Amino acid sequence: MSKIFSKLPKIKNIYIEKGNYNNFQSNNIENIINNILKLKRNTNEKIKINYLENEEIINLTKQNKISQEDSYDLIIQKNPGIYIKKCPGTPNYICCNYHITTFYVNCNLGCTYCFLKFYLKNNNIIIYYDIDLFLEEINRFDRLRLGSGELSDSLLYDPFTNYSDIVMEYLENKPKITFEFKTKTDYIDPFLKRKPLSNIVVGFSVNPENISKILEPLSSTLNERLEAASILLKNGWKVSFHFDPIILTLGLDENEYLKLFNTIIDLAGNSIAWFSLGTLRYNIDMMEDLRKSYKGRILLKYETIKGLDGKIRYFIDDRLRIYRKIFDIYKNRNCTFPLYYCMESDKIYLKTFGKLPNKIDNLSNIFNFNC
Amino acid sequence: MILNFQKVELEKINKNFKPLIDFSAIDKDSLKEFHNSIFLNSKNDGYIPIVLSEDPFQCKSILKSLIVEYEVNTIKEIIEDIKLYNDDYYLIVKRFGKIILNKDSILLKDDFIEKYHSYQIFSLIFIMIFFKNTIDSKPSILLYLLFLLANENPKIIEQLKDIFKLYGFFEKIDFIPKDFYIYLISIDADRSLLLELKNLIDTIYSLPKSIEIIKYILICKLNKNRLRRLIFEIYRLVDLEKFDEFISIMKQDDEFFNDLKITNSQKEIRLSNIINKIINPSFSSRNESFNKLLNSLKLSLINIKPSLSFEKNEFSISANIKNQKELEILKDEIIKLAECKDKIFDF
Repeated sequence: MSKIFSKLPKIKNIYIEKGNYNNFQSNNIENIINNILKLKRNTNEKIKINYLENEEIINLTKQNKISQEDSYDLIIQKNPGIYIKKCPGTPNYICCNYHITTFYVNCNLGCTYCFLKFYLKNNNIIIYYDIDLFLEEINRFDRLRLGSGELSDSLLYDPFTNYSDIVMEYLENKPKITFEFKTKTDYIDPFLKRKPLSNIVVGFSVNPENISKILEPLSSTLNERLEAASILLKNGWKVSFHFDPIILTLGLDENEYLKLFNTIIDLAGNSIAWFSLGTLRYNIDMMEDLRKSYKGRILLKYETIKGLDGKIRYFIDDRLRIYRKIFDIYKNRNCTFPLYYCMESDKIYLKTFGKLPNKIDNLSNIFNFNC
Repeated sequence: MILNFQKVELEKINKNFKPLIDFSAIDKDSLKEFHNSIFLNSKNDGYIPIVLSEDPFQCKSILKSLIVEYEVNTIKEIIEDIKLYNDDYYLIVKRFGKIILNKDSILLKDDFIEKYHSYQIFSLIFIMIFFKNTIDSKPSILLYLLFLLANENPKIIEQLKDIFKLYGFFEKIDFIPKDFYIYLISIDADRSLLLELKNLIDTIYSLPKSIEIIKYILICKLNKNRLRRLIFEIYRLVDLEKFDEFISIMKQDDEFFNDLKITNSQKEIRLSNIINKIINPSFSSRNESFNKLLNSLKLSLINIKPSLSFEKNEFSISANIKNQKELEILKDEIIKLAECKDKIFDF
């Protein structure tokens, strides 16, 4: 088991939403509780388990305060919406047409740049217990590229839920449905227990060590994540990488991204399933919160503009500079794996690739324009 | 907040003050003994003095005593309102207004204040101070009242400093010149802007020469929206550790900014340029190069604008023509433009 779990805050309460569970759901809830109690057996965590009505659960999820930094409440509830959604993207920027699904809401990793804490305002973790409905929903699609890393880390709570097993088992015979588990952990146990699947990708979101150790303090270290990726590759699994957010800031050498990009190419070469790049962007309201902490202020030490979507971004010349450097390495090392930008403008594509993603051979499939 | 008036009466009354039992106990002379106090005059319970402190305000010439008549039930309702709506200062003002607007219930010393309205607001301030918890959680309420007061009677602004100090709005009150309050009132600074300003001042106070920024705001007479944007820009200067650089560049331009013949809007443009170059150096330089290119093309009819912050690979072009001759000129300008398309799309 990854070392990361010993660093995380403790669970104080588990709240389970009362409901008319089907067999799958009641077994699932039971498994989650058993897994948690088993994992916490040798710790001094005293966890209270409570069953609550739907309204009480809603009130809990609407809390806008963090009661204790070192502990959190876990809420096991039904998904109030649908499971599979198209990535909302952002106006005026090019989206890769990824689909997102949510098994968990919120994350304990506490990365400084993460938008979750600014929107959710509490540190409760939600686990949806009715993922049988996700499996039903997925049947509506013939072809899809989706992932579960939008509102949480895909693998951080997997030891509680074993959802990766459930998903992989179901998708084993659906090769056109590509599922990405996006993570900042090195938790890869579920993948090592089974034969590799061609439609499953483990995505590692990484930043150079000098940034990661400051801004991603509870995540697995860069080396741990790279080591996990390497093990997966050796075992025949597909891996992807994400430099998102790329952070430019005073006093930190942006060339560290280039070194890391080279390291990843050395490690995985053209077997990388895809590699996405995106520079830091955030809602203007986040600035006030960022100013409150030393780490937050690090993120503000660079020229920014208000983008076409109203979010704060680095000025396009600065984004282009780092993208071009990465793209030059990509070209010079004859890479063929798909490389793309997350929520970037047409100009960025035109000034690096020389064309838009629908004209780039290895991206048209990834972007799945017909979907 | 729940306030028990009986408890206040028993525990908070200063022993130096005579408890007031009924209206007959008060006459104008005896009021002098009760500096800086508010008396709530309940018809049922007699007068309840609310002692603010021994001598909290140092504004002896302004405030002596204030007596507010109230109905017990009304006060209870108000307290309920504060508890429920303490985010809404209008409501609080309105509810207190019901009491204080009753002229007969307030005893005024003749020389107490020049305008009844000012006194009214001052009364509100004191009552707000009495409800200190509310003020602590929502300082903007008191701040708002203070500015109302200043608006009514600028002469007493000096004394406001003591109140500001006491309640920690601008702990660094010496930082702020009197004219600044007048300016804020003149631009009709709203509650949120005042709070933003307060937060900014708290943030930059420790920076050397931070007072200069107030000076430049006053010189340029920025309007409300521009002031709000300036607050954002100053935060960016601080984020980028460029505040000192900004002030020293501004100082080099002191002659320009102090020149009374130069209009406020010209000064504002200069201020914006200076700030932009510091907080958005890459963007400013790209903008300058783009404008240089446009100037070199000498287009008289065509306007070209890049996308916002040069984010997209597109430009908007517009032209107004008034006659056939201009149409011919436009044709030539379009040809000229097409000839340098590569240069334009380099941006």
